Amino acid sequence: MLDRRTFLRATSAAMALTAAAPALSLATVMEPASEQWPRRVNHLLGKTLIPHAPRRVVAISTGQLDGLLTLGLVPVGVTRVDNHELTPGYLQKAFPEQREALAQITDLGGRGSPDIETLAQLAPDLILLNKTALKFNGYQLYSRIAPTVVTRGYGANWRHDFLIIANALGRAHEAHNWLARLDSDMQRFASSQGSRPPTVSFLFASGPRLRLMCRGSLVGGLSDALNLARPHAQQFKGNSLDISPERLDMADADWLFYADQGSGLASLKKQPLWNYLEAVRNRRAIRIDADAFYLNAGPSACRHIVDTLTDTVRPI
Amino acid sequence: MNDRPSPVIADTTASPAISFPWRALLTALALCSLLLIVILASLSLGARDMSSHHVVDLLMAPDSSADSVVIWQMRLPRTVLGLLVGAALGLAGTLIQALTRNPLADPGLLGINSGAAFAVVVGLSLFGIDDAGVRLAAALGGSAFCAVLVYILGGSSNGKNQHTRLVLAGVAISVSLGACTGIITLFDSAVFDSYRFWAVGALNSPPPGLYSVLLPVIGLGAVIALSLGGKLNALALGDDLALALGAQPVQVRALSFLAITLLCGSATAAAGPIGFVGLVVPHALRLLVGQDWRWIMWLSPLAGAALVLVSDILGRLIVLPGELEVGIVCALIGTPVLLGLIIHFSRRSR
Repeated sequence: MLDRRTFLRATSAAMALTAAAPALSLATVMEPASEQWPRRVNHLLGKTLIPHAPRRVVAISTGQLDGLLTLGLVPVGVTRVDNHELTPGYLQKAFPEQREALAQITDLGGRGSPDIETLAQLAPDLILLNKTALKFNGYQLYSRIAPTVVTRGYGANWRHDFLIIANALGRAHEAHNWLARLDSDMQRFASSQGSRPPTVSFLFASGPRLRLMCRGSLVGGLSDALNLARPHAQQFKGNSLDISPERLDMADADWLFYADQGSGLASLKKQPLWNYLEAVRNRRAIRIDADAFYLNAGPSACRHIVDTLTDTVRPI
Repeated sequence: MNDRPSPVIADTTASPAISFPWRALLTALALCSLLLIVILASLSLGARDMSSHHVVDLLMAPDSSADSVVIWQMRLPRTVLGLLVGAALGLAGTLIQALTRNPLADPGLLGINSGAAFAVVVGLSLFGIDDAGVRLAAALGGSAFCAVLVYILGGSSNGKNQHTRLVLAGVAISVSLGACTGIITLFDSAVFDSYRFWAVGALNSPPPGLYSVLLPVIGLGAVIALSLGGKLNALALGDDLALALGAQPVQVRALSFLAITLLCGSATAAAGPIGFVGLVVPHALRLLVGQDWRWIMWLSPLAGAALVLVSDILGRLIVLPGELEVGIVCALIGTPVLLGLIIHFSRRSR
């Protein structure tokens, strides 16, 4: 008899493969035959002419900073998320050789209202930003300063966004190789899973709030592609779901990954139901980095997630 | 605020002392039964689905199941906290409206909320402390400091402009402290992250040892408040008449201030600033039982507790399986209630 979990796992693996395929073929279409300059780059809001290989790049979102560093280029300016460092900790750890260069990046202020004057003074030759960071007339404004390329943002689009960035830099080839390595590592782990793979769950304690990261999130998509199962209480799509402390047991799984922000850790450990979770009792609740897992969407964040999951999760 | 006699005075002279106060008794009875129902609902309703039968069983005989933990360690404490906070806010709101003779006054007017918020933010940013106990102490101290400041600036004087001075001093202190809080939270977003959760007001994470602080403070405030009802009636006739009736206006004012600070300060420290309760409760009670502050004072803790608990229960049910904080829901259901009252009042007076 085909049980429900096996069926879901099979379909999600198939979905993960088909999801990867169109992204690759789309990128192949975008990729010019050779790395010629000037070139036109397709992106979310149209085509942008880039006259020469960009050297001085401004990244408005962390996902783009992540993508640039993954391709070996340190931007000249980035914005910051309130309350966070200019370069999130996981990126500083992933690129120790760039430590000094990262310290030289110009702070362009909060993500909601980048300091346009400072940005213009940097004289960038490429501006990268997410559609979500665009305000009224923002694209026209940025385009007057430098060629501007817009990506979609949000977890599930990271692959597509990465390829757009790579294409704008003329480094599509490197990006494809990088993705191929990640995919083969994921494939190896996914195919090593037996017929009853362990379940995983992703919890985010932001202050006193508890949030489950669902299958539509970055980490959810990656764990699906790794053939890891979700517990019965988490068989829903969508990005995330806020849960009441009374329902903390919805977060239970064979392996529970949790991250915190603000006073989140203290408030999570204080929850009366925390010690009722099987994962906590069996010491399979693992604290993770919120920046890499939940808050940013970029290739190196994905690499961090995949490495953490494949190193940690064992059949039980 | 002007010289013509306000309807408050007109009504107090026609005080219902002659006839037996049936209305007030009926209202008290209704509020008590409502409160009982709400307490039961608060124990049995929530994001976790449990039948009321099961809840009663677990209340009688707790076991080690997760359901039992939810009832005993989550729903019961937040119900008790909701009762205390609601009662304190209802009483404090009644006191401030009686004291200022301003129907738009609420306990926040004395700068108590902004004082507590400022102290919490300073504690967070200077000492980096995000501990519930420290937050409680900071909020209590901040609200007390603020109330004393407002009293010195506006409350201690005599004369007919006294109410205006009090309200203006409260508004001025609130606004300037609010600006200070804004400056700190704007530039220190780590503080803002912790502060914003406190600032919406929540019952679901009471700090440990809360009740040993909260019970005596709220108890003392309530005793003072309840003993002042008759004197506030006298004060409503103006300082000279009040003096003739044996009430010392300065003393009554100082005691009211003390009670408001104890009640609202501790409620705000325990659950964060919860608006509208102190504003709506005395209004609604005046509509129901008339202008006698003695009755309103006794009924306001019941009404306040019921309103806060109803808001908390709604907050648990409208965004399942998540929750909305009680402060948000209170404002959400408080606004239409207040608007309804205003419309009702204006129709009556026409």
